[in-house]
Amino acid sequence: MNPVSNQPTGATTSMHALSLSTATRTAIQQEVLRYPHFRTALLPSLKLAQREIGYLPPSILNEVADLVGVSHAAAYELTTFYSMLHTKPHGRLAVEVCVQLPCGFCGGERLLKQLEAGLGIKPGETTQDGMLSLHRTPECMGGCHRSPMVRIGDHYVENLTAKADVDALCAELQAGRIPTTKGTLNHDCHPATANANASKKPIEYTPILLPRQPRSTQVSLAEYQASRGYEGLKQALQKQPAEVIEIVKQSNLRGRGGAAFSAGMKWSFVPKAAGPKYLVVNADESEPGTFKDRELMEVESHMLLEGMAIASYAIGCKEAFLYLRGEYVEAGDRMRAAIGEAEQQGLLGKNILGSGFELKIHVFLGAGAYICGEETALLESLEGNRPMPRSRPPFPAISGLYSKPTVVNNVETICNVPHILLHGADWFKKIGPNEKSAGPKIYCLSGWVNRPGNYELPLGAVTFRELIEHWGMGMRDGAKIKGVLPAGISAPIVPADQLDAKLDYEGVAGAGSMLGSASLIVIPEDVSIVRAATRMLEFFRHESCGKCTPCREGTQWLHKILLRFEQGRGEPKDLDLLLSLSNQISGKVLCALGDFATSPVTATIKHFRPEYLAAILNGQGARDAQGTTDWSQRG
Amino acid sequence: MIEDLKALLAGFFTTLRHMGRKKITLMYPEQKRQPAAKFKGRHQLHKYDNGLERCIGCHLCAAACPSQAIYVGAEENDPKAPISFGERYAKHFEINMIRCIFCGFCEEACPVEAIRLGPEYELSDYQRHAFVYTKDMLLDPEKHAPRRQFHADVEQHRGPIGGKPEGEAAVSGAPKGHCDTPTGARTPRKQDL
Amino acid sequence: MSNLANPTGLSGATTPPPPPPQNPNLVSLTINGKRLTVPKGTLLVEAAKMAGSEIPVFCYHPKLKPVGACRMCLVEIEKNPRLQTACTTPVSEGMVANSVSPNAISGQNAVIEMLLANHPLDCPICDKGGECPLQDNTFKYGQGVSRMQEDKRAKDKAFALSDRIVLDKERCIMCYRCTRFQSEIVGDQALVALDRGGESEIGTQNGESFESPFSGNTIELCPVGALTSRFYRFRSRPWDLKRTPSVCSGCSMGCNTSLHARDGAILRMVARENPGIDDGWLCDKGRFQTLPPVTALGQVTAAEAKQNRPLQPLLRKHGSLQPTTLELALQRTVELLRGYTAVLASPTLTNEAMLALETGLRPMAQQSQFGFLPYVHTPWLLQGKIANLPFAKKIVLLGFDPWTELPVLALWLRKAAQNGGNLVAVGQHNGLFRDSAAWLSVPQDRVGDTTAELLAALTTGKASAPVREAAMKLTCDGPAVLLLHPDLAADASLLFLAQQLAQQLGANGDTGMLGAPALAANARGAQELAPTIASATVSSHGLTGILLLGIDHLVPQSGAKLAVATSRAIEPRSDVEVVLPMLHPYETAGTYTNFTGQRQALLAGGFVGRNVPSDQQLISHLRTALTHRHAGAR
Repeated sequence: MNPVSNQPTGATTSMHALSLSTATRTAIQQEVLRYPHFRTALLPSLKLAQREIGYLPPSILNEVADLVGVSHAAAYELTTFYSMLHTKPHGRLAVEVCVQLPCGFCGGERLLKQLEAGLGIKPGETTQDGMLSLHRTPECMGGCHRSPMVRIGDHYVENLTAKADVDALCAELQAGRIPTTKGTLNHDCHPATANANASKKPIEYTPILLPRQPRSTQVSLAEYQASRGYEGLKQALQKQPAEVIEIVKQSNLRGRGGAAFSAGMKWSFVPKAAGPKYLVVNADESEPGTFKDRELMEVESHMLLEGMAIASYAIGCKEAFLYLRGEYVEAGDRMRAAIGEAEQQGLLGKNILGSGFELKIHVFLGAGAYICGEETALLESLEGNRPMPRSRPPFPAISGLYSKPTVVNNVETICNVPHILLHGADWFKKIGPNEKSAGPKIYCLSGWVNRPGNYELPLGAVTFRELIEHWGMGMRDGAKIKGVLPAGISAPIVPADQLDAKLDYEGVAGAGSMLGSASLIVIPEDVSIVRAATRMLEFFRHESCGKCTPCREGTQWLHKILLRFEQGRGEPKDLDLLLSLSNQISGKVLCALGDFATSPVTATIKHFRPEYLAAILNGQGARDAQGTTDWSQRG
Repeated sequence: MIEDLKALLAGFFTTLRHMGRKKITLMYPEQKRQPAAKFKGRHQLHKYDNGLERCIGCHLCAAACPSQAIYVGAEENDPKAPISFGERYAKHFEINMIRCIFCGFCEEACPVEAIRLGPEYELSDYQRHAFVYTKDMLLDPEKHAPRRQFHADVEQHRGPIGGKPEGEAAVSGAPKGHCDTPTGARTPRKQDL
Repeated sequence: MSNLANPTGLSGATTPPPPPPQNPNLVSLTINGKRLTVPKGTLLVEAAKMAGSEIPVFCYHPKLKPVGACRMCLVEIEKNPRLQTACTTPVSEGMVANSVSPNAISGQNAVIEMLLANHPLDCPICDKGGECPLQDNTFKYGQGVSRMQEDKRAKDKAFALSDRIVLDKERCIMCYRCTRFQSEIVGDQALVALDRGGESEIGTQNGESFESPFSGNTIELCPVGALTSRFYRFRSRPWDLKRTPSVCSGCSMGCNTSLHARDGAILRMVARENPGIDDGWLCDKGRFQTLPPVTALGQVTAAEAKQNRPLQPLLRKHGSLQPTTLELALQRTVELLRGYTAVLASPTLTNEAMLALETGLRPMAQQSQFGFLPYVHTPWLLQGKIANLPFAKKIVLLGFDPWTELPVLALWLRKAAQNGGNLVAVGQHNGLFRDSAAWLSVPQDRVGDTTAELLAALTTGKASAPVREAAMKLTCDGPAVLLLHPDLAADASLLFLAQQLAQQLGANGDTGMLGAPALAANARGAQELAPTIASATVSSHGLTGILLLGIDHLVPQSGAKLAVATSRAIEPRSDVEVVLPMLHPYETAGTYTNFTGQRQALLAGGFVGRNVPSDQQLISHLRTALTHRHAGAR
């Protein structure tokens, strides 16, 4: 159940490695001194140790705990929580194949079977020489627009549609190398200009968040400055912080991470009293079907930094954290490089642009836990604790990181900020037909469309159908749409007859769902919705932190029932049980994960009840329209 | 006077009439009545087919007993030689039969159908202490109880005799873990899901 | 079995808002239709108790920070679309809360069903049965039927976490009370939560035992039978226990306890909260190691049966110890005490016994030396109250490690440190290192020098850098605490320095605490009521006979014949002549005086037969026997 992998850079895979090298010890000691509180260093230190040893046996855990200054049990506690930390040895090259939606029905399961055959091991197994292991992961890794894909340690290998590419991958792996096949890291599916089907309704819009698409290489500081980069910061520094907050408030910028709370208003909650305050940027992006923050950080790194600087100035913060999910190693490296560039030019660090304002930014990587996308769980993770959400009140703006006032914002939200400061709140408000939900939105389109990718469009400018058909170039093989999951797997599915709803918060709500982070997964008609729902519950069961009773027990229970349906064992009254349990979970849990976990169940039963009944009829189980019992032939 | 004689004769004839009829009196102890299926007589502790005792020493019978006639002392099972099916068994089990009112609450309370009131009712004795039945007497009356308390031909009607324990073998033995020599624990059930 | 105690109705929505309170520190609200006024900041779950309503909880505990994890306390609050957890919601003016509305009841039913979904059907074999909050809440707030038909999770059962605690991972409902206790109250984070989601469980670092001086408290905190005591395992059911209030005899804290006995045999000791002494906690030493051996028939384990606690007097005849009468045993004891002999008494004797010893027995045995083992006298009697401790801002420990010697005191000092107090420890051992502002780690024989240096640092400023840094932490205002180890107090010059330091810090008994605390259970009582004996040092060389009164173990073999009055099993060593059975303090009615001078009552929690005398009775018998000896000698 725990898909895990890591790429050790050390040569050792010996089970007898009992202590850390001097280099690692020094690195850990530096880590301990880096943060405002020593405990924050616990997770990075564990990852440093694992990088050397390959896994974390008890003696190493004890050593790390002693170096950081926590109890042995505390180190063990973190290790067993995060998917990317292992207490047992793994293959030196651990291949993780994503089978969550959409990858699952877009070739992920097929890829898994091919790798099984090509590498000669089953999922969960390691080769005899301990070099390779294969893992099936229900977690999404942010490569949905390039499915099917795998992660091998720090590296992603994507777009593995062609058998030749898969064969090449197997060959490289068996030689002990991580491949650089053609499928890696290439954006090959983006609109160079606005909508491709020009005969349909054109949109007048010049992208501001991803203006350089289809580019995938990082924008350097010089390039960024050449297109008015960091001028927004200059403007902000000439104003009072309270003014800056007011501008952002006036712009009606709403949070882009899913909750859609007014960013300016959140900033205004921070008390003006003296004392440390923190800005934490949530780059944990783990919702299946979401890959926008990844592109923003990999390409427009400086835009994010500029936004963070403006936001920090506005709230009076001197130390900010960028919390990335552990898998986004490439993005983390690029952000660090960009920070280096910016600090050299006096755009970050001490006395920014001679204004006296200072900002230090920590790039902090997680270790594989979707729950860290929940803001208070993220703060717990930063504090070196088990990342479980906190009860609110108090809210982070009053008592957040280290119990100090903290603002947590999504990457995309922050990336809008420099443009607002540069062009003004009124200009921003006019982007899009709806002033109340103003500004651009990056729509992550994935699933069974011809051209999945990140589409930046004004909020509310297009409908579901227009996005799929004009920008996504329609459905593959002319397939019909069964439904669209608009906010990753966390919001109710929008069936095919509702796809003329506008893609803004109000429009999607009107279609009985939520826009959330705008991660649209398009499900074709021939895919079994029962299998899809089961796969989605597998995600929530795997990611539930376990703190509160209804989610901990409920996600497992719902998943078990759905598995039965998938296998054809069940009764019609089990559907009532599923709905009743969903009711028992939703609204009674500590954080939104529990609520979201019920959406796949309630929405799919509401719109596709006959499929459930067909699955248990004669015990045939969940079948796609072609009659197949799994997705290994698809994609 | 005729009426008196008539009355007298009527009585005699009633007696004579009944002389020919089948008697319902049983000539105890040569003839003994088969107790009804729901008869609540002497208790017996039962075992499973595989020889493990059903009783798990849970004290529920003692708690249910209105006359506090039962004493239970529980103990940990030795995994190499488990006595009951589970972590615990009754090391001491005594019933004071003089206190017992044969209400059957203990039987109702027992979660594993260990203690059941059976068909035996010939329980007299001469000394008070003889009425405290120990576990041996309750578990295996044929061997340990006075002969009159066990009749092989009398059927135990209520509840299954023997049977299989439900579920997997539970843990038996003293707690295993970090600080003990590991004493065989149960393998967690394979998750089929 | 529907909601037996939950009447429907009383939505609370129609009651008019209460008038605003006069006092800004008070808040008026309505709970289940009842209006009340409570202090600002009160949690809704506590306010409900004041309103006479019970809101069920699992993870909430008054002494731990609320987490809102179990969701059992979900209540309906007007104007709030979602149910809220009462344990994390402070009261607000005009709040209308309802825990018996249909919505709230459905929340309670939901949580119980979820908790029971994977909880094993262990009640008959689980030690917690009969005193189990999960059982009680299921009856009161559950629906009575579970719809779970899938296979339940299987995890380790009867997992030995340590030599005293068993963990059943299947029963655990992940309320985190135990982990929060270890991290908030104790600070050693010895127990943590592992894995994630439905696979979560409680545990320690893999392979390590759950070692903490306070681990036993998790047994009481655990609301289900997940954490249970290995000593008490399977011995009894709660309804068979007789509960008697008493005081612990482990050390001089005087923690209040409750002794639970079945048929006269004391099976376990639990905490009996005294907010001014123990704050509801017990240390493991007191909880597990001070209990008398179990001798009641039917209760004795095989191991215990081998130990043989004496319940009748024994006399050595023909080379082995044989049962005898009390008269003969006393006679032999009296004979033994002729000549160069000693009487060594345990400081766990009750005050009544102490007095009898000093004024009754000692005058009748003038030729014998009398003393306590261990030596109990402290030249610097402690002043101060435990209740002062959380407010202390300056705390100095000289050669004294409460973590091992007076464990519950360490918890109080940790509280003080968390409230902003600065703790400076001088000495080799410091269990409170996590909470110390400074730790001058020196061996015991250097404590004196370091104390002098510390005093110098505070007065003249002349000291080495680390001592100066430590002294900086002691320059703030506020109540002060200074504790010196009683063994070190014997050194007059060190004592003087310590007293000077206490004066320098402004430590006094009204606001803080100062002194060299006597460590054994009734050591202070000994010093107050048996002063001559308490201050006497007994020379053990060349003794011909020794009477041991209530001491746990035998003295090293020396050539002296021993008469042992004890409540514990003793090895039948060849020099043991007489064994006199005596009641254990937990079987005695008497009083103890704790290290601050507080006198508390013990009641007899166990019964081992009419023929076993208490400590006071035995001393009285001995006195009588000695009187006869004198009479006979004349």
